[in-house]
Amino acid sequence: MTAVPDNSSILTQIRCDLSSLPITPPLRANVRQHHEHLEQLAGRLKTLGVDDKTINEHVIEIFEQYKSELLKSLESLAGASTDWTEQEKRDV
Amino acid sequence: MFKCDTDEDARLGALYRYEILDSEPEESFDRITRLAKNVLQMPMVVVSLVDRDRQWFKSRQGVTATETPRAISFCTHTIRDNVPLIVRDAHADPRFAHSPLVTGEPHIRYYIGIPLRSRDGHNIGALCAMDTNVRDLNSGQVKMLEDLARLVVDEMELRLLASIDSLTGVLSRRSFLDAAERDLQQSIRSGSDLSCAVIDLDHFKSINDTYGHGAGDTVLQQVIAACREQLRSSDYIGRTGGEEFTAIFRDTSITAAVEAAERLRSAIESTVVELDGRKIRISASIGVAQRTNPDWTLSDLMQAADAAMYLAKSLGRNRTVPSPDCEQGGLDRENETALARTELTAPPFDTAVDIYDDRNRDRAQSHLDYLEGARTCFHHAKHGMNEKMKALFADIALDYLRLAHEKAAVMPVRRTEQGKTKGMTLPPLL
Repeated sequence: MTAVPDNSSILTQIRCDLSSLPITPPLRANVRQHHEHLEQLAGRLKTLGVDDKTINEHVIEIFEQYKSELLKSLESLAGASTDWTEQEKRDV
Repeated sequence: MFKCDTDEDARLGALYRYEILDSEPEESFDRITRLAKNVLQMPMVVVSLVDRDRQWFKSRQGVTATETPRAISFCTHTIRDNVPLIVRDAHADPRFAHSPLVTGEPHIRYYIGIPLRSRDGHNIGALCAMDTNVRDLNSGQVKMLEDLARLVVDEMELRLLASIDSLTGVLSRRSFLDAAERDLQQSIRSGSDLSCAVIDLDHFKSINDTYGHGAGDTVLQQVIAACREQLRSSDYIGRTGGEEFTAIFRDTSITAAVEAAERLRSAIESTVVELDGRKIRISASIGVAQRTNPDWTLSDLMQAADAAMYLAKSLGRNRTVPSPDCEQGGLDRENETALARTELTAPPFDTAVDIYDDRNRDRAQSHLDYLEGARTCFHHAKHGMNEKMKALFADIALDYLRLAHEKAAVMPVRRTEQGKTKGMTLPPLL
């Protein structure tokens, strides 16, 4: 039977995942806040008697959805930059 | 420090900024409500957003309705305070005992709502858990719901941050196009007017080249701040290019939209940006279009406004020009022709002789560019040049030729880069 990693190692992994992303300061603040809130949730679920495996599943699920949306946001902002470059060529 | 929502308009403004109402369900929110449902063993959990007259559910577990009238909702009570609202037994609470949500489906008996507080301190909705039986949650369970409510707001904030242009604070291109598309569809369904204005700052590149990109950024910030003061609460603006912005005017005919756009142009012209003791002024050329053709897509509408903006550039910049494509509700042909004549006889043309002076060759060039520009702009990229535009262009061209020959006995000349002069030819008529 595979050992279940504790919540702190999962949260550390999440922090590493996010640290490599090239994000703007406002987004970074949101990422940091979301991470803190996930940590609080994990701790709270533990005090409510939820087992580590279930907590990890919930935390990872919520994180993966958040990360997916974050990546979409980054793509959107990068797309806008490309458009601006094209626009700048049109200066009349 | 918490802020109570005594100002409903400000609260609704905070809610609308998220552009979340009537959006599609999203797994990000559903995972949060499912977690609450499973851990608390609650049959019903929703993310409720409290609009002016309704509560609308972004995520729902165990609830079939997508919205209910606000007047009968529990959440309208939740958002009045900054602490969880707990109704242990709705039958015993005079505020809710006779609510159709209690006496009928879904037969709510127990309710707990955690306010969803926006970053600027407004309660825009609630994360709610409900049961058909009387319940009690311990403090740890209540705090877990509070943790989840914070995650809901994080998700909303993430979408908001991605939707905002970080330099100017207006909608990013993607978000603007999404919002404009929704408004276009809404205007088609309701038959209401929808107009848009494409705003392009004149000679912005020269500001970047002369003062640096930092100065250019400051100019953009101050100009857009001035514009936002002129917008009604129902209007919005997006950064659709480097120095190009587009505004949407809901329920607005082209006549009113031109007036609104003219206020924006005037605000831009009046803005003085002071940088290191230097004063920088800028102007804008604005094209305005209204959705008059039922088959028009958002792209068509924006193209029409864009073409009008280029016409404004060709007419000398720093002006607002309605699209010749707008067949109804706008300027009729007589007025359009009058507008064009006014532009032709505006002060630069009254000194037509001067423009042939080599010292004013840039102005001469701009006059000669005018006809070509007008012809290009009137030639709609998708629809070609319709009869109305052909007639308007012919009128303008004839006026131009007549005035040019009345005011100058010689054809204009320009210096080439090598210093020679050569005659300039007017662009051919159609």
